[in-house]
Amino acid sequence: MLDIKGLTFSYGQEDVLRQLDLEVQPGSIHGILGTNGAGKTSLFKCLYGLLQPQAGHILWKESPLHFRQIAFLETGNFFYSYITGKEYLQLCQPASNNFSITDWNRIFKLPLDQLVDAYSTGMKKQLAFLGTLAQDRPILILDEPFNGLDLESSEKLSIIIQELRKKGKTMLIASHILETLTRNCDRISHLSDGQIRAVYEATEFPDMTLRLRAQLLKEIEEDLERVF
Amino acid sequence: MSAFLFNLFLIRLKQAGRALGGVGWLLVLALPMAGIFLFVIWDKLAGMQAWESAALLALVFFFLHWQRKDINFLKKCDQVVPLVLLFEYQMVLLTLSLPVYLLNSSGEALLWSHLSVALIAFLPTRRESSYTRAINLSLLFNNKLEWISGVRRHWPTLLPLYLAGLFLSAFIPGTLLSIVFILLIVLSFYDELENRMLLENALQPHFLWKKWIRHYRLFLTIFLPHIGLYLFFHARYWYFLVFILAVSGIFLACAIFYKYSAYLPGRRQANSQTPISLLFLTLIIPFLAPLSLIVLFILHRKAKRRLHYFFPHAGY
Repeated sequence: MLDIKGLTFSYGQEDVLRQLDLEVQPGSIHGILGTNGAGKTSLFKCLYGLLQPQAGHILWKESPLHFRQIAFLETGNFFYSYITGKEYLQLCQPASNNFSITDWNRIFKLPLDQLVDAYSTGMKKQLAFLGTLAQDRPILILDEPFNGLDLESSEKLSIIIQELRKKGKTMLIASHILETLTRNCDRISHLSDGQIRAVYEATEFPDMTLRLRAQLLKEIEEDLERVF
Repeated sequence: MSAFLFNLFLIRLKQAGRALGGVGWLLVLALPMAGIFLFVIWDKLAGMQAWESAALLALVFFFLHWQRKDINFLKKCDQVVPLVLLFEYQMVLLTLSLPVYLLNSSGEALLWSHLSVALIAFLPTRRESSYTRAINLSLLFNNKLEWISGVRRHWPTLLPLYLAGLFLSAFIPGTLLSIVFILLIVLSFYDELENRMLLENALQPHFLWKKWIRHYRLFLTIFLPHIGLYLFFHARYWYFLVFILAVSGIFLACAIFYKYSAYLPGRRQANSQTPISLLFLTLIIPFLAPLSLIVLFILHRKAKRRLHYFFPHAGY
């Protein structure tokens, strides 16, 4: 189990994560739902070790989590200029694993011999996702994986995520698009003000959706009346 | 690790080839310029003390190291990041240190330069700022978005350089180098392309020249204290200052024109700053400076055509 206890992180005076607790079952897909700025990306960066939390611990199967156990798809991914998609994947792929770039690209159909600079946002996202898969690690953290994808690519991504679960991968997915989480996840945690406010099981998703929509509407009702 | 380094080395060679290819037929000018530039650099380094050349090279490599953005990517690739950097820096350094060794036969200089640059690989790089409160620069820069964004991003480097230029104005190179180093950073402000909507709103007749005049005026205004102090201390050498300011104007125009010559709807960054980097060679070899005027003319024509193609209705 991925066990996060009392995780606290702040940027200077600004608290981002406050004593956050979260449990993720191995081989499951766990969604993190939250508004922009709720702390989803900071949480992921803490897990991956890009940010150092001020307090708390992160355990994977009862041992401290190491970044080498995680493949991390960031919202904005880094690409060198003047390299082709294939060269990017070759860099991502450890020498030891047998990830077949050609086989995987039969699904995504990316122009791997073209320069990444010429790729669209969606194509870059898919390339970065392939790079994440090439690393073949037990935990996948996917930060807004559906951003910028067209309908067909979104569907493909959903199918692949389900297949990865069958292979025993543990996945954490953040999204601000509710439907992408309810379709793909086994559980969803609602992150707000740096804490997990609620955890929903798959059976509770329809109720959660209605409740969140009603809550949001209540929050902006007065403002809506003012502008319309 | 070795397979990754070899792969990275091959990719770096391809990157360099493609970047040069992107310069197009300007290579006819750029390659001889680069050749002369390298010979001048080798010659200067060969004439220095071992510790001087090592310190200078370490400074240059530290500047490059500080700007690196691929550290997290290398970490993701499961690599020992300092070792990758060490390998890359040593390979690049060889192109400078070996010819210098052939010129002066100083093993000491070779050793010290490689050792000092090796240390750089283990130093931290610039962290992306997580500071969310922004200083209001709109009034100061009168909505020149490139400057607002650039100064917010680079102020920790810009401020010391600017102050150094003031405090060292009693020495001729103090002011001039401050202007040159700041200009180097300012040119990177123009890497990012605005979106179609912003650009469409900004377009007007003679947009490119008007933009250059506004931005160059701002550049000169910012350096007024430096100019005043330089003229106070070194009025006899006014022509150095005029040369640097004129070259700054040309480079600023080239950066602006290059930005729009690379414009494509949806693209966020100009493809390459290689042509602008090559222009910098003219600072080292002043007699090549007139060539930058040719580049300026070509880039202006290209930018104008590109804007006209994408915004034929914008009154441009």
